Amino acid sequence: MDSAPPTITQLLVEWSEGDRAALDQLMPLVYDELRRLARSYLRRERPDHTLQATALVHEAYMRLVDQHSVSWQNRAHFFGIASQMMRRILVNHALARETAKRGGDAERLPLDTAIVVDAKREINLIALDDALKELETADARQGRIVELRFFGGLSIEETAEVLKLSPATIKREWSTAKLWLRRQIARG
Amino acid sequence: MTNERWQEVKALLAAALERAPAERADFIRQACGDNSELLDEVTSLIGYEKTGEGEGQSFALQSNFGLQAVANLSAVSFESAFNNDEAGTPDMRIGPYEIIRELGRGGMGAVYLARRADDAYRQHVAIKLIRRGMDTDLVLRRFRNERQILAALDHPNIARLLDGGTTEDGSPYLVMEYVEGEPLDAYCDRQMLHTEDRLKLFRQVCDAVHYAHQRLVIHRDIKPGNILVTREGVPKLLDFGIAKLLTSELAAQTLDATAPAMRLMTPLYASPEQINGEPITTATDVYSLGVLLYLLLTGHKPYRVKSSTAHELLRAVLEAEPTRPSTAIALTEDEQNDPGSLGVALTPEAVSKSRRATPDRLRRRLRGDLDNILLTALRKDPARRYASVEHFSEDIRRHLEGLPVFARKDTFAYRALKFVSRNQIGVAGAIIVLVMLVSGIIIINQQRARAERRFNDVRKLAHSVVFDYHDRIADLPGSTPVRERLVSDALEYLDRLAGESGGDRSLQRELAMAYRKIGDVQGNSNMANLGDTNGALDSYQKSLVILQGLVKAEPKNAELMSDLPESLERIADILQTKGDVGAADQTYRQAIEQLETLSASAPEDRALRRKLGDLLSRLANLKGRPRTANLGDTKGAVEYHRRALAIREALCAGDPSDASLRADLQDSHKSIATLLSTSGDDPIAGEPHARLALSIAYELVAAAPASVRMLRALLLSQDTLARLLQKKGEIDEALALCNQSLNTARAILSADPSNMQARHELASAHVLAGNILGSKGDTAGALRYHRQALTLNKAIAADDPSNESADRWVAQDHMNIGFALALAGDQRGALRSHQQGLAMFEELCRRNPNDFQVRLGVTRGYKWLGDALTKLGDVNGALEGFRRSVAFGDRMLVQDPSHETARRILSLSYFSIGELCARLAGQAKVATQGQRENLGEARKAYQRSLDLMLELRSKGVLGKEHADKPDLITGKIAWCDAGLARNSN
Repeated sequence: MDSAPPTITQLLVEWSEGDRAALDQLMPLVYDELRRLARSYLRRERPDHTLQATALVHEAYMRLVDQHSVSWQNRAHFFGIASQMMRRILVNHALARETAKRGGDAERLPLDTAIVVDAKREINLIALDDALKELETADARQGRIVELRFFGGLSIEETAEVLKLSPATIKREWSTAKLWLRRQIARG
Repeated sequence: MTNERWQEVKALLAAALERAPAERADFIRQACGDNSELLDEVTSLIGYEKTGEGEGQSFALQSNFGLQAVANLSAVSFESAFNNDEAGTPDMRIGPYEIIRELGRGGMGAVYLARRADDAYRQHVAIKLIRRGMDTDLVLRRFRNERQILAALDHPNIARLLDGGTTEDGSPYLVMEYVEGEPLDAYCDRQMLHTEDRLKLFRQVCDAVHYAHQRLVIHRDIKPGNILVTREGVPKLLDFGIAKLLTSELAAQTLDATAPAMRLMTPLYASPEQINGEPITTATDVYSLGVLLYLLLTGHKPYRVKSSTAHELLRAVLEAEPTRPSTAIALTEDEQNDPGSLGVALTPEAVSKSRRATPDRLRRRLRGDLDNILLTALRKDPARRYASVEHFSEDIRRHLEGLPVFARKDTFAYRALKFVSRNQIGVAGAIIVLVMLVSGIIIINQQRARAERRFNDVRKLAHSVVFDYHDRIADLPGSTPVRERLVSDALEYLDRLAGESGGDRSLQRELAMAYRKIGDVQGNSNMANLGDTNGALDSYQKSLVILQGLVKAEPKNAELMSDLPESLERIADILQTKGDVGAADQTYRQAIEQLETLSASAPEDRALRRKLGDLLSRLANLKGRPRTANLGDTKGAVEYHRRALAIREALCAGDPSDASLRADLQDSHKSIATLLSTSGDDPIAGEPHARLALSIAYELVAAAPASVRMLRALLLSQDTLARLLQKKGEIDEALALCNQSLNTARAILSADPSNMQARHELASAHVLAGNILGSKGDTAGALRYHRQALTLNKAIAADDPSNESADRWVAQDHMNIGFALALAGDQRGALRSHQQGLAMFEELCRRNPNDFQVRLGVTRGYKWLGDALTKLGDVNGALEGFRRSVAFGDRMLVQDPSHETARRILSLSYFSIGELCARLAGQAKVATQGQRENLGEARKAYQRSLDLMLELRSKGVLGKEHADKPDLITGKIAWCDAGLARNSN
């Protein structure tokens, strides 16, 4: 156990202690784990799979991290990375499904399953992502907040911690973002 | 939308939102003044504010488990996420509760944080729900048990059961008080409680445990992680998950899968009797409480171990004397990542600091009474501990009040009397370790027995047996090295265990199962790398040996009897993967034999019959499959398929609604049809099977239209029947079927456009169509299809450069085009195409000299080349071609004497050589050296051709179109002989 490669926990701790290099090592591990999780969720043919980005990320967290030795701040940081990745994974998948259905040249699906999907729902996820991208161009911080809360499932407090802002600010940003996004999506 | 603009809008929006809805319009108007653009924008946006649920339909749970299947984030969840400020999770419900998020997941199911949907004061609860699929009686029984237990407990220091129920689809759930707090030991350290306060807190816990004991409930898993202290300083006891009702404990004598040895417990807190699998009593909880108190008072564990393996720890629990608490203070130990510890290195200074004392003072505090109290609780022999938790608590009270305690120092005599275990030392411990290892959650460091998991975060290890976690191993996060290490550690333990397990039969069986499980993991070729087949084989063999030994000792044991075929099957599978076909064959047959015996004694057991059918099929495929090096035993293969068919027919008759059974049945028919039609010279025999296979396939597709697997089965059936009909000569029907197969192939492809296999299947369907049209004489049509196949296969090769077969397909397509052109009369065109194809085949041959398919392609290619050159009149060129063909073909046959197709091509090539040489010889007007040579070669070639054809005929695979050749050739040989005789004169 002495010469073991650093675990995710260790990397998180190191990163939170300021070691930037640890983040580089961390990212691919996290991403792998999330993709794998997402794939295993989506692959199951039985209808009882629950895919919520948040549950996925929670699960990824629990699997990867020794909850005991990582303090709360690190957990929030983890979610910060994870929510970004989760968004990419899910949106990519939605896009690939959309393209496939239209019969076009499907890019390689990162999640290689065929699932029966409600077309309307698919589009909404893509629409959300598009809208969010728009929001990000005008206000990067606000976009990040939405990403953390929606894809990462962080609470107001946790989001505040990750971004080092006050909960009140987060609340404000979140509630105004919602309005804009709703409108953007409604307008198609 | 620019940043500045948006910030302006945003600020206004935020301010507006803070106002009551009624006031908003006015406020906005005022704030915007005469900036009409701003006014419009803000007004527009504010209109999207929803109160309450709004338009999103409430995401009520429907299907299994109460949790709506959400394949991806839906519009509804999107909306409800926006409405739910708690966290961005979709709205989900279990009964009247609304789920906030998942807290944890474990062997039995998951635990969620939730609250009542209708409640004004949103009290949080924890809901424990059984996982779908885990509906074995055992699990349900346990769950109901737990509910029963918890319902009876109502105590301020026990997490309360609030509610329970069943979801719409019958999954039971428990609603518990959600306790948020710190593990007991962490709390004590952080608050730096001194000894008195710790003792008082401890007594509250004792109170709770005693209360439970009075209701006949033993906790059995007391440790700091199961005791959380709330912000108000109230300790709450959690997770009676593996607790048992006292009465049922005594009654339970059955050896169920969760045999005592498999019961999970943290080694540190496990009592000797738990480790030994002996009856658990209230004294067990006393022991665990003793360990807990020891930790609280000293910061150390009771035992010193040489290494931090659980194996060592368990040995210590069973044999070693606990260090006297007052002495333990003086120790300096490496921080052991103990659950609950804040990672402080254990030095006398550190330890006493968190107890608001100096090392000296602390030692004195503990010496005497507390030493004795603790040691009494920790006695190996349950009978010698405190009679009850109440006694324990009382003694502490007496100590706190300065009264004499009852605990006495252990006399030498007693100490010497070690608590002897019935089983061998270490064995049971290692099993527990194995459980933890194999569970994959404790990665490597066995001691990290996640004790601090709260009840809400269901312990992933709890009450599970090795077998439950097979998937978990496969699911281990990312790194293969971790997985490999896990496997090697597990194996090490198993091996050690095996050495020590002699005589203990139930242990040995567990061992055999564990080896098998590990073998599964090792050999699993679904993972990124292909799997360690040798390692898997090794593990399976170990498992088998143990099982065989057990069966010999207990010949009547039915359970054991069914374990054997399972193990054999796995071994056979691996052997097949490795290519050791002979051994695989033998092993399958062994397994089949055993299953048959088993099934005979339990004829109503459908699962057994089904398994038997599967094994028979497997063996049949092994025998008959032409692709891999096989035994080439078509007849044998058919025979086994028939046996499997018979079983499957019976099973289907017994349960007509089982779709997967019918799929199996269909597969059997199809396999028989394929074998009969491609190998026998009487395709008729295969036809009824092919037709049946097809009709069942249609049924299956109708029943499951989205299933690609069924579509593929249909495709194969259409293909098989089409080929068969072509052989039979019923071209029109063959063609019709072929068209249908094209449609099917297209359907599969549209369901999964990037799937290479599907693309190739479409190309293959085109090839078949081309062949059929060719045999009908529609050469234009044949060409069209073959060209299309070429285009498709070329595309595959281009898109998937790693696909080695793709080039071969393209080469073959060229040859097919050449063949069609030859039929159409365009010999030159045929020649060109053949040359193109051959060039590719040659190149492939250089790259993979051992690839059978490639060599077959070359052999056949040269023959066709020869044919084309013959038609073009280039005798020498044609001869050269045929000679090359036979050179390749002969080598092939040496390596695989059973390959009929090769043999046939070879025979025809030799025949052609004979013909051409004979022609050359016949052209000579007078007897010449050249003529003699040609005759000689012709004769040799004819002879060889004859021999081959006779071989084919004896196997029954010569085929109608060549049936008269042997006689013909015999005549030609005679002609050659005559010519040679004349020539030599």
